[in-house]
Parts: sequence; C-alpha cells; structure tokens
Amino acid sequence: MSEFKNQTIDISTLPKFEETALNSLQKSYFKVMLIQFGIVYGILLIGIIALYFISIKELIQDKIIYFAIGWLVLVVLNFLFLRISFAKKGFALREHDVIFKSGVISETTTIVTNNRVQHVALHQGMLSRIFGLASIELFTAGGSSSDLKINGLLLNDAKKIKESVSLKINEIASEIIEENPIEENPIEENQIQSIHENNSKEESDEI
Amino acid sequence: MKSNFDFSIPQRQSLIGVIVLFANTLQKSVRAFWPFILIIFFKKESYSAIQVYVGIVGVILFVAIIAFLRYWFFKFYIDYKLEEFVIENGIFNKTKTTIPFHKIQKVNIDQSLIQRIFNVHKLELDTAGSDKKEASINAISHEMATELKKQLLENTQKNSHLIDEIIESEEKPKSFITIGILSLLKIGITANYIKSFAYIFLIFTTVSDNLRQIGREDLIDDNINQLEQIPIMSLILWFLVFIFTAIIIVNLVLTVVKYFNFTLKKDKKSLVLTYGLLNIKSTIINPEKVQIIKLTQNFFQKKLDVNTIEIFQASSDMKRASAKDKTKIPGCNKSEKEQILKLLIGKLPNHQTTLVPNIRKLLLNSFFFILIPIAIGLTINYNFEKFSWNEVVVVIAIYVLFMGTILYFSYRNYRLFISDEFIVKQSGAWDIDHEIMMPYKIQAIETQQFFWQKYTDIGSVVLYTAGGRVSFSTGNFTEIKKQVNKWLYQVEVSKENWM
Repeated sequence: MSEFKNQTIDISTLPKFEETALNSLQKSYFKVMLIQFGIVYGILLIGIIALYFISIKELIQDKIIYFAIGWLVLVVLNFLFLRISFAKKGFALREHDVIFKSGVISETTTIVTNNRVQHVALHQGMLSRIFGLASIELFTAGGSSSDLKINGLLLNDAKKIKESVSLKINEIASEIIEENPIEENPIEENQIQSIHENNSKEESDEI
Repeated sequence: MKSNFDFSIPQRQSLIGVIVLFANTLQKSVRAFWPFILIIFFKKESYSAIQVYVGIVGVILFVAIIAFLRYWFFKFYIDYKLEEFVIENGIFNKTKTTIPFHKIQKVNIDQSLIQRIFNVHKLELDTAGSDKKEASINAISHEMATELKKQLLENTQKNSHLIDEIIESEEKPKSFITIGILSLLKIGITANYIKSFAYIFLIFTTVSDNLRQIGREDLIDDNINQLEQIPIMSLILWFLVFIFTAIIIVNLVLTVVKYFNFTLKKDKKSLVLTYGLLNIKSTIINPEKVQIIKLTQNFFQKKLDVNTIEIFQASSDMKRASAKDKTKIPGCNKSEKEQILKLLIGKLPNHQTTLVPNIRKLLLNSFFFILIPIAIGLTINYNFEKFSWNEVVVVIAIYVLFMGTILYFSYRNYRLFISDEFIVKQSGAWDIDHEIMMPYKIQAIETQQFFWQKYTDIGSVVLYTAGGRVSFSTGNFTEIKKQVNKWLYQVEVSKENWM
C-alpha cells in the first residue's frame, strides 16, 4: 500500500496525454456516417415531397419551397458538422490507458486506464460489417457517461484492442487474488467471473 | 450448552410479536391511506356515533386479522443439509427466501421503540450480494435471537473465513461515536430549509386538493377571505414568520425521527451505523468501498460546530453508480468529523496545489443568472405594463443584490485542492461542500474545452469514480492537464483496491 505514497512525483517528467499522437478513424467509417446521414435526410426529403403531393390545400403547397430550403440548409450544415467532427475524432492506445478525443464545439478527451476497465464490448453494425469496421466500448464502474466508445476501427484492430485490454483485466484480477486471498470475498469472485463471461461475449447491434 | 431451540423445524416469531406486526401494519395502512382518512374526517355529512365506532373497530379488527395472518404464515428455519437459512412468508402470495450461509456477512439484532416496549427483537441478515437487507425477522425474543445468531454464525464459519471477523466484532461492539439529541437539534435548525419547504408545500397542496375534491373548498375560501382583511404588509410578515417556524419545526421533527440515537460502531475494518426512532436502520460502511466523502457546513453550522458528512460508496452489485449508495451522518462536531475521516481515509486531507476558477466563470454566471433573467422580466413587463418603473427598479435591485451575493460567494468558494493523496473540491455559496476523493479511486478522466477557450487557456475536468463524479470547470487548462497526467500515473501504478 505504501509503495508509492512517499515518493515525490515529478509531474513534468510524466508522459503527457495531450501530446500523444492520435490515430484518426478509418476513412471508410466516414462513408458509413455518410450513408446513415443520407438515409435520414432521404427519408426527410421523401416526407417533404409526399407532403407536396398529398396536401390538397394550396396553403401548404405554396409553403413547400420553404421546407425544401430548410432541408437544404440542414443538409449543408449537418454535412459540414459531420465532416469536422469526423476530422476531430481521434484515439490513442497507450501502454496503460486508452485516449479518445472528440467534439466540434467542445473538445472532449476521455481517458480510461486499462486497470479500471470492467469489461470490453465489440459492436458491429450492419453497415459497418459491409466495410469491415467495428467499434469498441470500454466499460468502467464510473457510470455510463464515463464509458469510452471508439467507432470506425478496422475489425482486426478492434479485436486486437479488445484482446489486449481483456488480457490486462484478467492479469489484474488474478493479481488481486494472489496478493490478498484473505480479503477476497464472494463479490469479487463473481466480478472476475463476469469479466470472463463478458470477454467471451461478442455483441453486435444494428445501427 | 444445549440449544433450547431446534431451528431445523420451522419456527414462528414470538406471539407477542403479533402486536408489533399489528402496529407495523397499522402504520403502513395509515401512511398509504391518509388522504382517504382526511376526506372522511372533513366530509360534510356527519356520522352517527355508532357508525364511527363500528368503523374504527372494523378497521382495527381487519388490521389485527392481517397482522395475525402475517404472524401465522411467517416461518423461518435453518436447512442444515443445503446450508441455507430459509424464511417463508406471505398470506396469499407465498414467498420463500433462502440465504446460503456463505453469503451471510453480518447478523444484526436491533430494537425499535415499539419493539422495546414489548421486549422483542429484530434480527437482520446482511448479505454480500446486495445492500438491501435481504432478510429480517421482526419480532422474536432475546434468547431466540441470540441463539439463532449463534447458530447462523457457527454454521457460516465452516464455509467462510469472513466469519472470524464477524464473531470478533460481535463480541465487543465498541461504540465509537454517538450523536446526541443536541447535535441533531442544531442540524435541524440550520439545514435542509429547501427540502422542508418542499415537504410543507407538498402536504399543503395534497390537503387542499383533497378538500376540493370532497367539496369543502369553503374551508379554504373562508380562511383566504379572512386573510384578505389583514393589511398586506403584516400579512407578508406573518406569512414569513409562519413559513419559517413551520420549516424549522418540520426540520427538527424529521431530523430527530430519522436520526434518533445515531451511533457509529467501529468493527475491525468497517463502520456500522445505527439510527432511527420508529424504524431502526443500520448500515455498514466499508472504507475500501468509499469513493467520495462530502462534508457540508454553512455559516451557522460553523458557529455551532456541527458538520454533515455524506459518504458515497461503490455499488455492491457490479452495476452502475447510483445515489442510493449514499450514507449521511448528521451533526458531528469537529473532532468527531476528524475521527471519522481518519477511519475512512487514513488521515486528514492536506493540500499542495490549489486550482482556482477563472474570473470568466463569475462573469458568465452573472450573464446567465442576472442579465438574462432581468432582460426577460423587463420585456414581459414592457408588454403587460403591470408594474410601475419604481417597483421594477426596487425588484431588480433586490434581485441583483441577492443573486450577485450568491454568485460571488459560489465563485469565491469554488476551489480544487490537490495533494498527492487527495483531491478536495470546495463549492457552494451558503452550504459549503468539500468533496474528498483519492486519486487511485478514479475510474476515468475527461477533459473538456470549448474552442473559444483555447486562446484564454481555460478548460474543465471531470473525474469519474464508482460512487459519483467530481468536476471542476473554468480552470487553468495547462495546470489541469498537468494534474490529469499525474492522476493517470497514480491510477496506473496503484495496486490498491479501489473497491
């Protein structure tokens, strides 16, 4: 317990998370985002067109041009936003933690250390599967807002990350048991079991 | 010593326990049906004496029968073969609760006020699986309770090493801190004004709503008519006095009833809290599981030397952090506070670095909470012209003064104290909170910066733990990043159990 307690920490020599070179997401993930974007706005456009034909009253037919302009403005703005947000997203795997940075207006950097990860999930949506992409989600005990999710990884990379983080979890879990077997209580045993269970479970969800 | 009780065959509670169950059921029914009871009392048609007596006797008889049935169908026994403790209960819906011995962490014997009167005891089992009391027997004699406890613990011993601790602690439950009625009164006068106000408001609206429904608006209208005849200034004054006394009385009653006879007992490793006047509650706090400790004190409380401590623990089921794992210790003085802190985190937090918020935080808050509301108010008044300019100026002046003071103090108190072992966040305008956490309990860190904050080097940080989160905004971003690197290092090298 007292291993590092009295040790003075020289902050300036510590590795800096803000200077870590970030990997950007796979280019093909942008295509996935674009397709999703297209689907949403396509449906909206169909809605507007349908409105034009269905509505009998002149009132709405006159106003339809405004709907169309609104739609166009939204498309352009949202596209730009998507483009920037894609460019802003980045992740890095360090020896002891995972960093994920995102955000257009507010730049958010989330850092989860490997020894606090409860379990790892690998998701693969329908569209992502076509492009051979996957996403990784790291769960901690810090509540859902602290979970770290990285989209747009190559499936193989995602699997590698998952394996390496899972390995780390198991290592730590076994270390804890070895170190203080007396303090071990049933909860922790269950916890480790569930980690194993979760590790062996691969999830996939629809987008 | 030979046991007088054979727990392998199903046992019932003490017969006198029926009375306790009766009181219990009656209390629950009254709590559930009090609006109905109120309606019956205020109904316009009057009842004859016979009707009233028959009604009361009927209700009591009904409750008594239910209490007796609850007693009759409540059985408990030990299944020595399967190594389980079993409770069967339920009148129509039978429930069978089985608790494997190895899950039993603690056996508590307690007495509430009613139980004390009839000399029966309550036995509760704490299990490792959840924070809820999974099993409790409400009314058994003292001999039976101790015998059952002994049996349970003896059998548990075979299965688990945990029991050494349990037996040891059971032998000498050393009382460590008792919070007296005086401290509770102090807390009652000085805290929770808003909560009690909400409580009074709720009661008032429920009552008036119910009166309206049964056609007794006249009761309210009469009172309001009477009030209208009193001059406005003294009306306001009286209203304030009334509200204030009501709040304080409700506060006092709530605090005393809830936290009566608050005792902290120190076990080998954990803290056991017992409190309550009508329902005795007991909670175990395991220092390892504590994530955040929050100390609250306002100006009055500082003068009276009372603190409130809230302890946030990690959820025991491996699910997410929830507010339910919060424990409150009301009204301890400075030395008691220090004792508790030392027990929970080893020593008192000190600090080396202090992060202060940028002045922009104050400016921004003033903009949102002073300028914008005033602008909205003025626009509305401009359109409706309800108040004269003089009145508007007075209202605005009071508002600015009030809000400005709050904002200024919350800005001045907003601090993050950092040392190698602790992170302490201070915040609040009137009630000043200190949230204490330790770097190795951090689960994840998030830094945040708006793009316009880049030029002024301002940013925020959020620290997530298994018992909640602590955030600090509008601070020097370079300094924050430096600290984040340090915390990451501390988390990554830490071998300590965060839970």
